[in-house]
Amino acid sequence: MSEVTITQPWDLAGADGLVAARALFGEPVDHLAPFQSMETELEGVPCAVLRLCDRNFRITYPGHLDHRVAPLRLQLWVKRLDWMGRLVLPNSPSTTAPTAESLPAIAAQATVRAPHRLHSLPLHSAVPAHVATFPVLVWHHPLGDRPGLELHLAHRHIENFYRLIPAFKGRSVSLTTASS
Amino acid sequence: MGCDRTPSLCPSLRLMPSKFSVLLSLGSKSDLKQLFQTPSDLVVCTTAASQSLWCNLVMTTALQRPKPQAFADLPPPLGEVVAEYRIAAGEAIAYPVTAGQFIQIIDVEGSQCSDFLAFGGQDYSDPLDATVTRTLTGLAVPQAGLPSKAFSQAMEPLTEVMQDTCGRHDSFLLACTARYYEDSGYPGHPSCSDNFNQVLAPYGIAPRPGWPALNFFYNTSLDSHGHIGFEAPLSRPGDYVLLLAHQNLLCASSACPDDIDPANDWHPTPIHIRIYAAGQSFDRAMGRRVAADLPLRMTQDSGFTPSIRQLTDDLIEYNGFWVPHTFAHQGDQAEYWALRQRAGLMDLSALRKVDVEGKDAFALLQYAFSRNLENVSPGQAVYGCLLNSHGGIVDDGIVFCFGPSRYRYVGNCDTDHDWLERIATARGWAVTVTPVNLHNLALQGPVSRDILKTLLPEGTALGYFQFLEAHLGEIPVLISRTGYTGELGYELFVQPKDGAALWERLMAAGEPAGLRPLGMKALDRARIEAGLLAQGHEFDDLISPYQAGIGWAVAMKKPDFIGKAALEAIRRHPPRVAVGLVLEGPEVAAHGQPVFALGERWRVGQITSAAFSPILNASIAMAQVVPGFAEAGTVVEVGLLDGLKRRVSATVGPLAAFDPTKGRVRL
Repeated sequence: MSEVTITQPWDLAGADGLVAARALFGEPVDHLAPFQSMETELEGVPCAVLRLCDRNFRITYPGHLDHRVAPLRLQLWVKRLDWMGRLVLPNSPSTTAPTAESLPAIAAQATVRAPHRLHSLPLHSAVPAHVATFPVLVWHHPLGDRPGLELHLAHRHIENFYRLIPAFKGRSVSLTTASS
Repeated sequence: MGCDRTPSLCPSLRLMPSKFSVLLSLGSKSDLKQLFQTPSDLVVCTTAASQSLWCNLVMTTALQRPKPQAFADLPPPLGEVVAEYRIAAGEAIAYPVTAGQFIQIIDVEGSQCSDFLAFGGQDYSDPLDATVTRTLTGLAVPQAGLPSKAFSQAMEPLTEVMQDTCGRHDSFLLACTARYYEDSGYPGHPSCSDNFNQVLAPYGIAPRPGWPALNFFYNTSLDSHGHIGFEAPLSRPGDYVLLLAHQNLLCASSACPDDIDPANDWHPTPIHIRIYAAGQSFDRAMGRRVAADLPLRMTQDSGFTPSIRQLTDDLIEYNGFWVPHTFAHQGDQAEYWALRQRAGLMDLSALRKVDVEGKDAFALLQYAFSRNLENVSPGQAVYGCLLNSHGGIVDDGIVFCFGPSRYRYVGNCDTDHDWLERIATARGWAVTVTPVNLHNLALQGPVSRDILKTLLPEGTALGYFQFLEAHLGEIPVLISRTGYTGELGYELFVQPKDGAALWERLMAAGEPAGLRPLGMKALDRARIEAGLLAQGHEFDDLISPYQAGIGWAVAMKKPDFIGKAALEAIRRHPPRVAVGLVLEGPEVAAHGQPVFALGERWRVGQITSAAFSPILNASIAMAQVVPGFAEAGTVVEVGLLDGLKRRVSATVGPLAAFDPTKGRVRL
């Protein structure tokens, strides 16, 4: 079992959301379609950028992203969503294929609305889904040095969600709390 | 069981073997008689579950075998029918449907509304909710395709539109109510809502003064002032909606009794319901009527669609075909960049193709088409437009020259064929105009030639707007150096039966070079960057080529052609001209938004298409503005929202914001 510690992501949204994302992460961010992500660095700190729609992004930056965006004087908000938490399900070290081991178990209990597809979810992609009865954003991207699944869901659902899915038992889970 | 009214006037139920439970759970108005028809002798047991009037069934005669063609006024069944009901004009019925069954609601005589309720959940406690449905689907009325479901108050899917031959329904208004008739001076007039109350009462469903319903065939519309109006239904005799039941449902349908306004064209008529067995397969399709004298056309797959469906569930209806909008796990951004940097493959089979053959083929197209075909030799193609007498664009497209007496026109409209035939007939020209059933893929992008090299080497030698007929392996193909993206590219036309093979071969050959399938969303962004026109956006039959930005495609030196006199005047004084705009900031404009003179209240034009250009990193638009504001460098303002709350400065430039000299396509 391995432990991956993560911090609460930042959400960035607004009329100038894309402008801000490009200013922070460069042109590659505009190559992302909604629900696609990329791994990058900001001021030398590794982070992941998930595009949620044309102008909205979620960023796993451990520092004060709001302080970096403020000088740009753009029309947008940047905040950590204190009602949302994350579960992380990394692959075992023996896994070499770029897929998340838990994905089939989650997919078996999930419903996904078309046109989204959870089956064979590629790396650097996310899908909004219902796993059992819980609304979850399933994000497949590198966690540390290995690909894994990062699940975003309401704080109030996390404990029950974890208990309800036996397939997750025995696997490392890191539950983060907001730290602004 | 007797029926003292003729079948056409009384609700009726036709039973199939082993479907008796339908009979036993039927709900109906207490004063209605039911006609039951069976294909064999039938034993009927009646049990009075309560003292309610609806249970007072009276056995009067033995059941008879049904007469064949019992309902001769209907289109043939779509599949295995397990029950059917005739709802007399002005009445309503309730009927159970099990999950997986299909409900076909048929407007028997045309112009008749049929309001629809459905109740799911335990004890039918979760009713259909039109507001939930509109919110979740983003549509005023569900339609066949991806956003096709009707949802309950609990946001559970109840039904799904599989087929719809009318395309105009209502989800905003209540089923007609007693109050409506009272307010109109008809106290006591029967209403759909009251009829529903009666037929739903046996199921323990409490009455309501007005039922929120999906009102099929009810022709309502919302105008720009927020008013909801209605007119006579657009439905013709036999038009129908086919619904899939997603759970066990109690449904109620009406044949609306409204005879005091155009809702039913003043004359209520019957509605017919067929229930089809679960487990059958019906293609999703919606009917399109493009001209009064052309038959209904149902949405169809192209020869490539089965391959495309493996890669995406996001298909939309486009010009009578199911086409991909975006691809799963990919998205329009990746598709767009693949096109601009490597290559994209898209299905453009929705283009219409007609062969024009005969000794006067040249004369016909020289007269109907805007370009001069005199110097167009076999193997060459030219872009232009079909014109009408006042200089409006009937359609834009490409003429392929096979020889002086054989051409092919590839455009957008089902009516092109008829238009060309009528011109030929009027002019007495010896020519045949024949639709050609070819489907086509566009392979576009800077590496498209390299991809083609391994599959069809002779194709790589084609010059811009040249074509040839060849074989790709064993597949006969017409390949042209044409496209709709602003990139080097090719279009490959094949028989539909060869579609899957062509798709697979191109994808396999292109994968190492980074080829990706391309959906309509990415294609639209690319064509706007390239300044390429779209019907309904940049042109219609009231807009001239000079206003649309393709004045260069009008050969005014031709001795005569349709619309020449009108176009000579328009060319000198076009009411508006097409320009490109680059907006300040990232906000994207939309079709129809106003363009203002800088700092003024008055408009100088309007947006026709707009997108954010990733490659230019700018919000761009195509617009049509009055000539005085068309000069490059002119600064105007685009009115976003209502044009008052927010305006964005924009600078006039070439129609094609990306590669305006067309260097990439001519590469």
